[in-house]
Amino acid sequence: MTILTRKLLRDIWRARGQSFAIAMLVCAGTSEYVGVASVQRNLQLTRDEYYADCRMANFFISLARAPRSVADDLREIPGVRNVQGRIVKDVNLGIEGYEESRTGRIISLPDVRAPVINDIVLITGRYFEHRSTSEIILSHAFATANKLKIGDTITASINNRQHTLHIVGTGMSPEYVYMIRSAQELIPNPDRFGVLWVSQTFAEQSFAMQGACNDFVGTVERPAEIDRILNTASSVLAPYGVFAKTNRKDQTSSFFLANEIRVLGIATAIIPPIFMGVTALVLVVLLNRMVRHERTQIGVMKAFGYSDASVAAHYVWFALVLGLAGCLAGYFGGVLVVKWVMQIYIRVFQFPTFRMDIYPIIMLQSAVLTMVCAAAGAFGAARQAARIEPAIAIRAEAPKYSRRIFLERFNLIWGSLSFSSKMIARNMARYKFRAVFTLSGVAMSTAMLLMGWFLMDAVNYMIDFQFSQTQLEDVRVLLNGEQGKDTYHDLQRLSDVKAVEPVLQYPFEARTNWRKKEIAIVGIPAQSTLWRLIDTQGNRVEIDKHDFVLDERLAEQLGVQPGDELVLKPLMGRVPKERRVHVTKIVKQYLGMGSYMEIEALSRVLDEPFAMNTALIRSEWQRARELDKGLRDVAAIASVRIKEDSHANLKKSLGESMRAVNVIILGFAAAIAFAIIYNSTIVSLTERHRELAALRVMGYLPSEVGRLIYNENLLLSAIGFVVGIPLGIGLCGLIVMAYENDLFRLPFKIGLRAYALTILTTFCFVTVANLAARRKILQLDMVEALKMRD
Amino acid sequence: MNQPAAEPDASSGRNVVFRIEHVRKEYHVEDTVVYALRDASLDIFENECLVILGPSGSGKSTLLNIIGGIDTPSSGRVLFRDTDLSRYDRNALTMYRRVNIGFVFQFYNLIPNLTARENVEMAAEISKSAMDPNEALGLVNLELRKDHFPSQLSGGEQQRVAIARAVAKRPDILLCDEPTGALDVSSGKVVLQVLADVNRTTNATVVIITHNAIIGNMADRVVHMTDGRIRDIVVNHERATVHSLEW
Repeated sequence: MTILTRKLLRDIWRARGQSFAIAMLVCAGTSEYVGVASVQRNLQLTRDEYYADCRMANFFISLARAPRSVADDLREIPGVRNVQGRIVKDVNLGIEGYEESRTGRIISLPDVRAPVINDIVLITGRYFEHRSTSEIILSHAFATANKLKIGDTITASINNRQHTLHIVGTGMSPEYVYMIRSAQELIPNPDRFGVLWVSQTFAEQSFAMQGACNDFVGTVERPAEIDRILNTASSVLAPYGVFAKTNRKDQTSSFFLANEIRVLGIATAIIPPIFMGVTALVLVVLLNRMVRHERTQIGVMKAFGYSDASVAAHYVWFALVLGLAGCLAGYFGGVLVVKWVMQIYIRVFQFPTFRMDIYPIIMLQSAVLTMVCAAAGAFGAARQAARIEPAIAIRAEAPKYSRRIFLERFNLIWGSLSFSSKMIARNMARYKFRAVFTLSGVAMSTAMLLMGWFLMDAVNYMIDFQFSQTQLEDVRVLLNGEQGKDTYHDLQRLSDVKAVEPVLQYPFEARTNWRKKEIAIVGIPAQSTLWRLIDTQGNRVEIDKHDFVLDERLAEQLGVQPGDELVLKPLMGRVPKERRVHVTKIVKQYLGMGSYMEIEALSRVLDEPFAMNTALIRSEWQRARELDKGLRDVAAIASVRIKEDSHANLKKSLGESMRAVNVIILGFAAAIAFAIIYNSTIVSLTERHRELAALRVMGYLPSEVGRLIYNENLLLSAIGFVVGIPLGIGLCGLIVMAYENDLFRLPFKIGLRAYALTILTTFCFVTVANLAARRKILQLDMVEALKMRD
Repeated sequence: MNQPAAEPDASSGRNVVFRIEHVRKEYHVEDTVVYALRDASLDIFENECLVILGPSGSGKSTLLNIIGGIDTPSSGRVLFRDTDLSRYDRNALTMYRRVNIGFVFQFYNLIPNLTARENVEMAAEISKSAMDPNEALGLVNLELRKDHFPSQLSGGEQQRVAIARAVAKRPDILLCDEPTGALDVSSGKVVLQVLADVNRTTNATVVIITHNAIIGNMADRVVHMTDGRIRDIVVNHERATVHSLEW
């Protein structure tokens, strides 16, 4: 070991607190980068392999009913590789031992196992053996959540008949990786919704659809051509009443999965650069001080014949060793992050197997990034060390020059300051860079904290707004197809029902001069009390038969304002009839995007006097569950949702993931705040230890000496906080934009609670850093400090 | 001991401020023990000017630091007006320094980003009976330089500010560790003159440690130290004026 290497290791040991803080920063950044980037790649590869193995469809077309042979016509479209017809229907399920209703999506598969599009992976059990019997393969998550196993039976009401279905296996499908019934639900609820794969023969018989199907799935040669293919396919299928045509990108499960991968990408792009930047800054402060402090030593080394380069390299090595240590620790952290996050994903996403890999290329990238930042942080100090002239350096340094600072021109203010305040003010002026450094560290950490607390609040606000301000029913009932007034009256007569409101939801294509979007228009009664619309000012909006109401976001996407005209084309029904409407009002909505009309007006657009496909029910006080039981046997009902459950479920799952995100953000903010404040405090203590020792000798208590340092930190933190708040508001805006999608938009509302918690946490970090500094003040060796000249 | 404060000394008739009894100080550096003080006993009287002479390593700084309450003896006692300093905890020692002690160091140790006057104010701020900072600066003839920063003052001037800072608290005793060690002869004499004046006008006991034997001539008594022991104590019946000192 050369002498310089030995000095290097001892220097690191001597500054171990600071070295540790720097290594921790690198470790945090590396774990995050390696962990999250690996998770992202794992998720992506797992998905791609799964999609390829099981032939995930490139497009999905649902319609009323079409002969199965139409698939042959669709196969003729240039660019289409394969098309298959199937039967897909939602039914109400009954499971022994559970009272609440469950929704099952029946999907037909060939009687004999064949390599179909959207093939399933059998997790347990076997494929169908008796073609016409009621054997089913159940989606694995649903079976697990309801403790169902092979050999058990469940009941389903299919075409007004109760069928007993026999479970022969459990499986997964690439179509239902994220297992939700529709995009509006946001969060999987595995015990309430499941997929039931049945044999084609059974499906055709029980739904009376011999030789027919209501869903086509297809694969294409080149995904880029998907729009053209879908358009051609819809014109081929026009006579059969196309309900919806979806490409893989927009398919519910695929969309959520892709969104998750995208968000992970954002996290890997944003967080590590922050860490590396902070690391470089901390190194600048630490190493510059070290070079100043060791000026004489450097001079002596050079006088003995060490080259400029070897002395400069010494300080670069210091940074690289810490970077490397942090990086290696970060790899272990990365493994933990992968394990932890993948655990969450295993619960959320239904994949038969998960990749849990760490990728050497990602590790290499992060190591290179770390080394570059470390070297950059050391560059200034190394250059200074190289430039030191031995003849000058071995003489004592000229005393630091102090001058009057700007504030002193204001006699009234300056005169009223205590000497300690003056000392703090002059000190900040003397070490401007360090003051700016501390300040920006606090600002950065404040901004991150605000973002973390905001995220939690925003998600809660979004959910509560939806469930306590707009969605006021107790039970939501989805009906089988459109029903008339009779069903409405039937529901009113049920026991435990206090009030019923009909709702009609219908898909349209909305078109302006240059924009086009598929939307679902919701028809609600004029005086609706169960589906309340709220405008951007927070006031209630009444709807009448002339109104066409859009929510803010949809209006933005379509580029329309009140008074503008839209062309609506119904997406279901055999005769596409276009209708022109004027946007009359804009409402606020965070979950989903909505457009609203009065229910009878909407019915008339469809050439019906009155139609409903959903009912909102207000139950008698606390009777929602009994009502649910009663509804199970009503033939017209496809599924029942109790609002309380949806609310709780959404809050639990979204809240849980936001808490996890916030924990990570808090940790990062703490690491940054601590590393920066601690480091600049220690540097400041080292540089001023003689003057602080002199104060101690003079009879200043450690707490009085400490106050000089704490107050300086507090002042800088206060300024940093003030700077950090707008920065944080900006970050929150960015995160709102990053998270925004068709499913939800986070409300850009930062509550007092978020500000208060941010202040509190920032203050805690500063206090912890101060406590660490306090230890050093107590350890000040007065005798030693005063004996020596710097 | 239950005697009244400041017991009169039989030989000189003056009151004892410090009674140092068999003080030892040893430092443990890894496996070796370094003896800084081996059995030192000494009385220091009120308002006297005491010079402690000795080569480096003789233990004089250690003795001064123990008297000043920034170091503690390994054994033996230091009585300050009958109170045993070794019974004091850290805080009590701090308060003791705050009220009773003024320190002057070889390298001044002024706060670089406070002006001369602010450096003095800093000491005055924590003392109940402090002098007006201007008055303290007047004692050291620096009223005109009071708004200068340490970097704008010469070494001798900086040391005078340091003395003003020490004196401003009206300490009972002024402890000076090589106060002229970093100064040329003429600046050194100005500083010594200031110390002599302070000793005369403020009733403070002044203890100066130095390796410069000439300075001993301005003292009431000179203590010679070697190898951690007090070798002898010489009483000057006639104090020399600072003016007459040459080295």
